[in-house]
Amino acid sequence: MRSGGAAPRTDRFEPSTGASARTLIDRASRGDVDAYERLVHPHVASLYRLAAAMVGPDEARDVTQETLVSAWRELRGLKRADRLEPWLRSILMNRARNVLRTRRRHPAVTFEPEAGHGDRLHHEPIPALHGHWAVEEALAGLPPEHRSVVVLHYLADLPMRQVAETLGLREGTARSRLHAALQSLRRHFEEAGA
Amino acid sequence: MNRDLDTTRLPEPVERYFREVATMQPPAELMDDVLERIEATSAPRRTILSFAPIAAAVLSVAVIGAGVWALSQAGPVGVPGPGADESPIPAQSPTAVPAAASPDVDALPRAEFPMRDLEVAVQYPLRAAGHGSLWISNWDLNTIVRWDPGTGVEQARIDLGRRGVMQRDQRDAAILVTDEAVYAAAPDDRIVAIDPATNDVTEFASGVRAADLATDGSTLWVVDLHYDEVVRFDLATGDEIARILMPDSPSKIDLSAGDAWVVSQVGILVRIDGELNDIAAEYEIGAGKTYLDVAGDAIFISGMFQPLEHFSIRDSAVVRRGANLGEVQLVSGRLVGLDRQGHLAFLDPQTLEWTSVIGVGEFHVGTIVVGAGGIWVDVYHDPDRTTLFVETGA
Repeated sequence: MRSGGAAPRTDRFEPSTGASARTLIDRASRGDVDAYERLVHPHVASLYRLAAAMVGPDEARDVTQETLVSAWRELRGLKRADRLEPWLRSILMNRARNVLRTRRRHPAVTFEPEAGHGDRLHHEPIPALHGHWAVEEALAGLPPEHRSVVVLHYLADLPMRQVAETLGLREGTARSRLHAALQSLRRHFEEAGA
Repeated sequence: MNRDLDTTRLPEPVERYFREVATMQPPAELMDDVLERIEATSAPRRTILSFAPIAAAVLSVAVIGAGVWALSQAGPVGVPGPGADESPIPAQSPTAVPAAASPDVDALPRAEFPMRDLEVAVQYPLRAAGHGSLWISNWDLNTIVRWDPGTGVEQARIDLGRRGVMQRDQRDAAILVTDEAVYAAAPDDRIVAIDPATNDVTEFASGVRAADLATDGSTLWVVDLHYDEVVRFDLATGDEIARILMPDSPSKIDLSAGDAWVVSQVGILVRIDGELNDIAAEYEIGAGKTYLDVAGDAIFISGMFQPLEHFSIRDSAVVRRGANLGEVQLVSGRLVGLDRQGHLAFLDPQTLEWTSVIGVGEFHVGTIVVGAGGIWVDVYHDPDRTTLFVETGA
């Protein structure tokens, strides 16, 4: 992460590169589920974190799962093994943006734990993210395409050229979106007195 | 460092939040759930892949558009725009207007237009007609076949340039014919321009995965299904003018009165203000819509053998629903569409009632292309492809 410590890895498999990744892609494309697991497992944690930063921890799991199922279906279209990770990232960001857009079109009730809204939640709370409701609110105020740029640059630690590639944008467009997003976030916290 | 002057630094609360997100681990069962879902669907997937050409053709026709040719077929401009009080997403239910039952085709008159069969020996679907040719895309071989319907001779097999990947979501391989050039989706997220006089190919634009194309004469509008965007290019220079983020899975575009209308597969109809290059309105119309044709106040929308719908721009609502049809297009003031039973149906656009039919034979996949004096109907029924020409004068 840009300006932050590296996340610990507990992955079962090392990232697949070069010929082995190509072999795994070919095998998975022919329906070998084990090969697919070996291929994508090293990337699951980073994808999950991206999803969490994009849509919040509650929906991160669904978005990650949908991404991996979708990638399985589309795997035959992946011709370059060295593009696996950015390709997965693109699929995930696309899905996450769709979730955010749907959310903006059909906004849910604001979640306020202080008001007791979390009392009857059926899922386990995520202790690491307690106390970040203000940040969630600030990020939720960004257009999905702006949030995408912020997350890819600061959480995934991608240079702007790769951010632009991931989102299918020109680098200048990505930079202007980042600038606008940062301005918006700063304004939010200034107004909130943070 | 003065934080106010550091314009690239995240606000501290967000930075702290991201640091914590970066330590999160996915639930242990996440990958197992993915594998379970994959295994549950892997058998049918293999079956589909074994019939890849058919599956690809079915997929392609699901998104083959009226949009490419709709501009030339659209009614007069000067359409009243939606009212100032329009809601971005009106609450109107897509099923509020009942659908019509399929008519008894045996009782309908046969369409009076002359028709002839063509032997097009290319196993890929038609995409466009113009410059004395039928234009047939071939996504596997990265070529476009140009075919002379008069002589039955293949005129050219045009290589689209560097080898690359034609992604699944652009395998409808859109082609748009204008007076000056033929624009085509190409691998590696490119659009190429073909000189119809020489068949020379030049790269027109990159960074866009074209699912559909339309032009207003000075700009090229491109629907990018993969990245959920509509991208607009200056036709003369190829410069990108605007990139407009769309609701999920936009598939088809048509232009009218300076605005662009885009239908998305998840059931959102979008109006893009052509002056502002921004979304002006969104309407829920029901999922699965893949064809769109705008004429005056009417937008005709259909999906893969779904009820044909007439969306009124003035009323911001679906005002009439017809019987199920696949692709539909406006031709010389009539609607034409393919039904699942192998008919090309002619409809009254006011009532959506069928007025006459032509039998085109059973098919898995059917495509309608309009231009060069008529309607070209391309039907595929494994292993045969048949192309019919219906001479309407269009």
